[in-house]
Amino acid sequence: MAKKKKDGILPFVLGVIAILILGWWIFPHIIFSEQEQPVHFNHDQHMNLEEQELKCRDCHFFRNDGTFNGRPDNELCAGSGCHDEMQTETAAESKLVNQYLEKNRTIPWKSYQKQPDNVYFSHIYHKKFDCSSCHLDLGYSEKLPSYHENRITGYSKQTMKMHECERCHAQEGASNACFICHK
Amino acid sequence: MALDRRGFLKFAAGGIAGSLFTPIPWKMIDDVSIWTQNWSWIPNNPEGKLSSKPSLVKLGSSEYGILIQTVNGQPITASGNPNHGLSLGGIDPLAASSVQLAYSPSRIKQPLQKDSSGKFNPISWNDATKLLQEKLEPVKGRQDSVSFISGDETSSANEIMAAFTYKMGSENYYFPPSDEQSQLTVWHSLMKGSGNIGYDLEDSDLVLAMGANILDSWGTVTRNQRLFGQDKYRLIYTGPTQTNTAVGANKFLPVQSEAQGHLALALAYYVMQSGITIQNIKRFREFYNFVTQNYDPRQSKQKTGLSEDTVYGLAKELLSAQNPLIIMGSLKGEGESGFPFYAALCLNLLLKFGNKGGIKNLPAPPQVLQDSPSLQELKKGNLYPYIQDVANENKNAPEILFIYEANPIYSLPNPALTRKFFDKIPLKVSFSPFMDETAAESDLILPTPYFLERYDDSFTPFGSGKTNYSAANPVQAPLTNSRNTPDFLLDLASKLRLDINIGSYKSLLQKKADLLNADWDSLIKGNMWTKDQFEDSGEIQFWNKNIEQMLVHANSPASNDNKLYLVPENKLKTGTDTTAFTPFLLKTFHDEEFEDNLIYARINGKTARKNNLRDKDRIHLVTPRGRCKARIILEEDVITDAIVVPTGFGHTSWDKFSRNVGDNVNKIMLVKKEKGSGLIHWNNTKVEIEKI
Repeated sequence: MAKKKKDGILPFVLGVIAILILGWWIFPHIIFSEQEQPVHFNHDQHMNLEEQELKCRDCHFFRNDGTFNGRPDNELCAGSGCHDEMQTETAAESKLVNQYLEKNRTIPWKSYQKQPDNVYFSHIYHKKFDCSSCHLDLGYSEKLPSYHENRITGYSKQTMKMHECERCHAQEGASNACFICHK
Repeated sequence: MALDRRGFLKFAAGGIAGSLFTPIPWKMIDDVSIWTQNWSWIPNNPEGKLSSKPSLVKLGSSEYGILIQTVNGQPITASGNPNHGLSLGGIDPLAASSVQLAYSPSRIKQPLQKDSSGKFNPISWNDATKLLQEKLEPVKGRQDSVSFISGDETSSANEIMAAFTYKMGSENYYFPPSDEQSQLTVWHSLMKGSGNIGYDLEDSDLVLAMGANILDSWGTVTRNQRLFGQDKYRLIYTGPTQTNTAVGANKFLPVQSEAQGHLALALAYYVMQSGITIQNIKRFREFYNFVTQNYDPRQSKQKTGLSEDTVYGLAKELLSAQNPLIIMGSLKGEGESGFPFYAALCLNLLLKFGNKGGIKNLPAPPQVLQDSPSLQELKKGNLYPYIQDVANENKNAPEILFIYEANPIYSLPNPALTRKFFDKIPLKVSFSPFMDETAAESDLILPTPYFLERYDDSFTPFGSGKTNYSAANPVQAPLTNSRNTPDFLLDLASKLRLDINIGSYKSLLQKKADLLNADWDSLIKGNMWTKDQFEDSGEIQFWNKNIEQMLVHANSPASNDNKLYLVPENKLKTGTDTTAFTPFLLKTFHDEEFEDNLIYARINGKTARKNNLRDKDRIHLVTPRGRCKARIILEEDVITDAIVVPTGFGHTSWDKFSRNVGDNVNKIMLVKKEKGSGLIHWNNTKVEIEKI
């Protein structure tokens, strides 16, 4: 009986502390797998080219029909005298040109903000917002950040959740009816 | 401190309690709920370059241009083509599912031959060619060597297929029955007109659609819809039920199907009373006398079921319009007698002909193969009487029957007769891309590529207002081991030493474009070639012995019985004669349309009371030809004494999505021969109702 009194609530407190450490520090690392992008891409270098002034919209643009191209395709990277042949001797460009552009293989970029197929999202309707309102601000980054994929869902850590869409729609006075996003 | 059992339980309890203050349970619940939505069988949108390729719909409705959206060249969806004059950016429900249809389980993967046990086994293209060569060689030059049924009336493939048939010594080339064919029989044989009837919707200010479901299934549907959407014309609809056209129309007048011809002549009465006559039409006076004697206001009321004021008001609207157009058609798109078409043609001619709006006389397509019969000539063939004659041994059965993208076993009335016809033929060869009912009853299936996988064209489909021509490149590589039928027949013809003077189907299409002075490159980019090209309509007759006989017969008193008029209604969402409805379209059906696997038969409350029927009663529609199972739905948008039943159900072949769903109403249709025109028709079938 005396022994029981001696332990008291200490094991309980230790249990709470252990789970707090597990939940707040270890669990976020376990639930997401960390992956690198297939090609090291330096936005900053592209934005500060000596011979050509590039703007965001040169690579990320709206097509004539209002759809958004997302990332540039091989044709755009190789065209306009950019990467049709090696411009530098970097390993990243070598990988881009040799493994993807010359073989006309689509670069399997990992999307930080990919929504499920049942979500219809139109960039043109949201163009008044700054890109970084929803996306990582990478415009002048030197290195693409690691991609964190949820081991259960398969979606990126940065994927916007439905309640975030709804909150912004409510704040902006836009409809939150199901069919607005789910066609 | 040693960790005993009690201490461990306290530690665990602390862990559980503490976990509520961490993201673990909440994040796990959220993630697992998202994970449950990651269904492996749902296809994902592929990543890649988005582009669109033009194509030409060939699914059994009027042909028009569409755009196929592709990602990295792979088709993902279909949309209307704003640059194509018969699409104007619109697309119909069947064509909207065309990309998915390419992957239908009913696609025929390779050539198949039926063995003695009735099972299909693969056969190579070489062996199939050899087999046909062996069978055809001994019967070359015989009139009953081969017969051909083509389900595509606008394609230049007919030139090669007909040339093959004629060079084999046979003239047995047929298209399945259609409103167009019935109308042309009236126009050419009875009224002595020439060319094809065109409908100038673009320049008309008032359109009177009589039965023709122009906003759903009749003619150039997407063009009709788009033009009506642009307020190009005022639309009045007459018919036995409130179709989608009636819903969209400015005015809807309920009229029995069999009274449509009478209504047209009742309107002609008022038009002629207003002083309009046509001097250059032969024997106009006799027509005038007949209409005056048989369609005065009192008789019109009796024959049309509409009040005198209603008919007069409608006539006044037609007379005050600048460019009125009357479109007569059946709700099924086939099986109509000649009388209503004659009446509507006369009314159109009285109101206006040849100027802006109204009907036009469009020329036949130019021929690339000069020794092949013309399309106009081929359209004179009437399939059902031929089937009847062969089945009843009044004509010799052909040694080989070829069927190209047609499904007569399913779509013709009296399938037992068509089966009897099939049984008389030693070798039936189907060129269908799908395992339809007719392919399943054939001995050899030589799959033609799906329309997205082949070169094809279309010349002035039914319902057009102007002469037009469209052509399309393949959008995707064939998904099956198929061969384009015209090219296969060219190969077979050369082995049989039949002289068909063209290298390939593609070169025939290019030559046709040259003959029309159309730019091939522009055509395959999805642009339609069109021209204001009209033909002299010939010496039209309003009256002769055959017409008189037809009119007298149409005006003879109807039998008075308690049976109901069967109104078969075709909607593109339930497919066409050549294409079953698709899984993509299932979401457009209401639950009640499939409840208990029964098709819905719509009647109004008065008809229900007269026949002691209630909502949701299970019934049989009965004719001497057979029974069709259905469920009663009470709706007040159906005329009294009519029962409206959808077509497109009761498939026994195709795929698991359309097979054995509901019943096929075609099988209970009663076929009659019209006096005067000689046309075989089945649209005014009357049925008895038996409760199950």
